Amino acid sequence: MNDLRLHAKEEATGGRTSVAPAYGQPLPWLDKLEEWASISLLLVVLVAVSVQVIARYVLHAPLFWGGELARYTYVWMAFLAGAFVTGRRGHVRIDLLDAILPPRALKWLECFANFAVGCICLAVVVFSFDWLLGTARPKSPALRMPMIFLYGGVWLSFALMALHSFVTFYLVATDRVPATPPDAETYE
Amino acid sequence: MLLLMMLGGMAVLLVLRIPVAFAMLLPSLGYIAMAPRISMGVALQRVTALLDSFPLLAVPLFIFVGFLANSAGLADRLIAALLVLTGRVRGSLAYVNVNASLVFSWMSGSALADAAALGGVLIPSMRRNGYDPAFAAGLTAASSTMGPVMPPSISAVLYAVLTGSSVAATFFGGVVPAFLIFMALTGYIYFYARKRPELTADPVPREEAVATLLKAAPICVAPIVLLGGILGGIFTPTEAAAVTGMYLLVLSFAFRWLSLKGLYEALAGTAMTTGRVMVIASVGALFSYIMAREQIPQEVADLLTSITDNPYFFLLLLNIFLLLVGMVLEPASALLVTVPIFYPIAQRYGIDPIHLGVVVIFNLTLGLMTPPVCLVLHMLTMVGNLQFSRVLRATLPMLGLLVLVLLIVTYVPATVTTLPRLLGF
Repeated sequence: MNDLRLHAKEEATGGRTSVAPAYGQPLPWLDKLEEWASISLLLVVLVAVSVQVIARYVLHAPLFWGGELARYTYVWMAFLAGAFVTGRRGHVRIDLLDAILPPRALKWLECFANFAVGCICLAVVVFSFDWLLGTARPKSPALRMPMIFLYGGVWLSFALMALHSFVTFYLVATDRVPATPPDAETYE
Repeated sequence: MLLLMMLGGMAVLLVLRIPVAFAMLLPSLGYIAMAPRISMGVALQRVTALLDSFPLLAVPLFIFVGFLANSAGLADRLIAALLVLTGRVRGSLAYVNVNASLVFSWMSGSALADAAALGGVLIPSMRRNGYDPAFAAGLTAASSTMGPVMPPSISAVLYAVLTGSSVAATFFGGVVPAFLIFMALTGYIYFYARKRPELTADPVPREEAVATLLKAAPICVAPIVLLGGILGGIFTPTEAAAVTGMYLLVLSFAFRWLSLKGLYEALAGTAMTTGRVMVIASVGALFSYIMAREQIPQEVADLLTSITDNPYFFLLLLNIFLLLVGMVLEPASALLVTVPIFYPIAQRYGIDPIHLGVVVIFNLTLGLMTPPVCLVLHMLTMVGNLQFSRVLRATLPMLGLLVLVLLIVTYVPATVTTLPRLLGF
């Protein structure tokens, strides 16, 4: 029994890779900034939803803005997380061919994929800008926040995803980072 | 025609190693650029609109609960307590494996989280007690499929939000199917252990047994609060997730189970997983908006109903299709990509949305065990330091049993729909 728990402790962490990638991260400061921003926003979501329950059952004064705060924070959190995941090349993709492709082909395919993702995100950023400016006037129902702050977060995240992709494209093309990213620990 | 073009474009981009989210985004942007009376702002608006939803907030919160349970080592304590309870039954550690998955599945909503938390502890200790480690890994993988089927479930939240169903009803629709999985696996263990008398655990001294059970008791409050709160109508599933997260957080800090570093890892892991899933989800919302605007699911439904109007035949086709999709895509992504297309078709066949949801979630979860892309098996192979082909061979009989359970759940809709109806959802 003791034996089981003792071994369990040391082996529970064995074979698991850490959350952060092992090699030098492209744009490390931006990666950290985005990570900490989305972690902080996640905590806001957790607290906002919990406070809503406490307000309803303990204080008997339901919050009218708690849900809206949590939802808008979540939009920012999810997309900022999407941005640093782009930088870590952690987005879900089909990499079945990786094992059979020659290294050079893999490298240029990875370059192409990153360049393409950069262009796709850039297209969203450029072509939706006029529409985004139009959302400056309407305000949200509960917080009375101009809607541009909600959509602006998504717009900004697409800009960051484009930036990450172009930087990765450059770094892979010039052999400064390997063609395939290391595995990261995610559960879904 | 448009569907074929968009899906074809997506397939080509996927082969070119472009991530799923962006492979869906490019054809969608192409459509917006060419279609009349629609501006690029729609793209921004639609990807935001899906996330701006209170039920969907449950996703990061349940992911966080899973990571937290892992960081705080709740699995170890749970396993130790279950071992005391199982006693010296032949094959006790194997039963503990399935039971631990069952209890864990009441807190976490993902198969990968379950397998990661339990596999790291159980595979080595089963190996030390004379079990074939490949069997241990296969059993851990098979029992982890209860995670997304049993409430709470991240896949169920995604499905319910995509289809406008009730999250709570989709949750509780999975309870009976999850217990069917449980029964199938315990039955398998019984026959596996019958011919192996050496598979018994050492007896535990009485004082130690009591201490171990006491340590695990506060953990078991979490599923009671979570599921009881939803059942009693006290919380919405989203609120239940937040309250459970807060409870485990306070508990882990109070008992010094969690360091600040562990908390950071749980939060960072949650953010990263949420980013991966939600960018696909939000782009998927844009994609399905375009599908709906062009009435594509209706056209496919017309075509299919002209071939057969038998819902059981449709469900068979769907199961085969989803098993194939599950071989190359992980469950959450596969769900987000396929549900918007086939949900309207299933409605035409008069299939109950909750029944359909549980079938889809169960089916896609099996994809975690079917090669070539089988995340759970690969992870457990790594954790146990084993040979992949051995693990796969040990898993196959259990996978066969799970497919059998899937067929029962598919063709006996009452297994899913009875419980939510009795509970009044």
